Amino acid sequence: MINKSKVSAFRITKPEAQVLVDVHSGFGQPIDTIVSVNGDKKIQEFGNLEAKPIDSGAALKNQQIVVHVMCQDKNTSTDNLDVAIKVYEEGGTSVSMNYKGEASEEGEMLVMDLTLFCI
Amino acid sequence: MKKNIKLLTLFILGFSSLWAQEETKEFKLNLLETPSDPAFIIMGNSNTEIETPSNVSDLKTSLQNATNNFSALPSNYALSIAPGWLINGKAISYERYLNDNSVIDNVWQSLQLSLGTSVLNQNNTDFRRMGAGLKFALYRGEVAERTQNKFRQYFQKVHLNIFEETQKEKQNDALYKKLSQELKEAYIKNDSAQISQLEVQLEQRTEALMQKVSDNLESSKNTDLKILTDIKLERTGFFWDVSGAGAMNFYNKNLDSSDLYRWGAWTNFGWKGDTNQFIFMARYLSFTNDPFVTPTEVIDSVKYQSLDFGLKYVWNPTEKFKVSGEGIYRFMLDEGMDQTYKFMVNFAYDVGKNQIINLALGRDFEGVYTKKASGLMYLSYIIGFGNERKLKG
Repeated sequence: MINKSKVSAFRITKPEAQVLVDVHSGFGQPIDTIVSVNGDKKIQEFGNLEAKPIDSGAALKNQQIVVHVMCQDKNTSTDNLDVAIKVYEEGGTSVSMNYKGEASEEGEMLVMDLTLFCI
Repeated sequence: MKKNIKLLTLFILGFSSLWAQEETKEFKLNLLETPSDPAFIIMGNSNTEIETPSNVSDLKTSLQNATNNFSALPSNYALSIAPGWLINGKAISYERYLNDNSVIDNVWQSLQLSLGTSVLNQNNTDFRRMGAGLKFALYRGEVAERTQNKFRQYFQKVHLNIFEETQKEKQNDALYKKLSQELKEAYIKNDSAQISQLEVQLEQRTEALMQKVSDNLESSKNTDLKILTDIKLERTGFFWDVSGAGAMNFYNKNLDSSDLYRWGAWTNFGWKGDTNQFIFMARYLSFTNDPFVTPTEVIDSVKYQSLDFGLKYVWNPTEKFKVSGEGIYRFMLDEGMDQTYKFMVNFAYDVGKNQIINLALGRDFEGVYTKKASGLMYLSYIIGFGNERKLKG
């Protein structure tokens, strides 16, 4: 299992706007995302996510968001294992976390943990 | 109609690979279906003329006993292999196995090569028949949505375990909590040098805790995988299979005294739902030498060709029980030969995981010599071993 972590501040500039999350993986890679706020699970979805709202900027101020992603490669040596996470305000702040690696013959599992301190 | 009742015992031994050495990737699936290899069909002793689409086995052997009351060793054998799974089955992924629509992948994953041999009796004279065939699918349908959901649920459950365990580790780890608090204060002070340093330290600590979770998970994940062992992996939707086969007769236990009995090619296509399935079959057969065997000689082998068209309906009201009816009409392409037909009704019941009892009743084609159709009854017991598939997800 590959474990990757990123820690960052997430500056709320538009408290009235929703904070959104995108999660994408390469073709055919099963992917699952869990989003938690201060340890409470708010989202769990299988497959890619597109502009999935977490909560409003005002509600998330001074909170801690964790975007936890599990993905698995296609088990073909020529394919890449690519995952991109982006948390953002529409037209405002954004934080991204990307993983690009070589897919393994063994079907490696990738777990990514993006921790955001909302300020 | 003269009733010629046959009692056959059919044992299918299949799918050889080891159970779950890598627990997160190997699922023990219930793949067993009533078998219908092209080699058996071309030899004329299959319990169905119209093959149903099924997930292939890596390796499958068939033994048939056509003797009375199981009193002798089986005289009919068949061996079927799936090269796509035998050669590189480990490289076929969950996504490509369950969802792939590539014709090349469909052909390679579904390709089955079969060889068979049987002992036949005509006019109290035994002779051996050997057949060889291949079968592949151009379209296989898709694994039912409810089955895919079970895989997804499993994947999500494993992920939730990892997430929750990681959260617990973070909450109980003094260093993680200390670094988090210092980082929050650094954000408030806007101390960029300290922020960068603490972010790196916190990332390293998080990855160390995640590693601890994955190490612990390695030893406890078997339970989750057992959920999947009860899934019967069946496909639904449009399917299209192509088959071809040939058979030879060998007389007087002599390899030199032989001839090509018949060869043919056929295609099956149709639609398979959760409980109903319709299959159409079109088949060309060339009877190169259909012999009339006597104790002393093989007389006047008849040559003819036929075009067969068939329709089969399968109803499986439950996962365990399946009924099917099939009819085949044979158009003889040579003048002076009568058209003929065959029908069969099959009852199959899963008596346990990868174990099926199958009863087939019906009417055979009229013979070209006797001009009489025989009644048919086949009773089969099928058992499969080691139905594992390396899947991910």
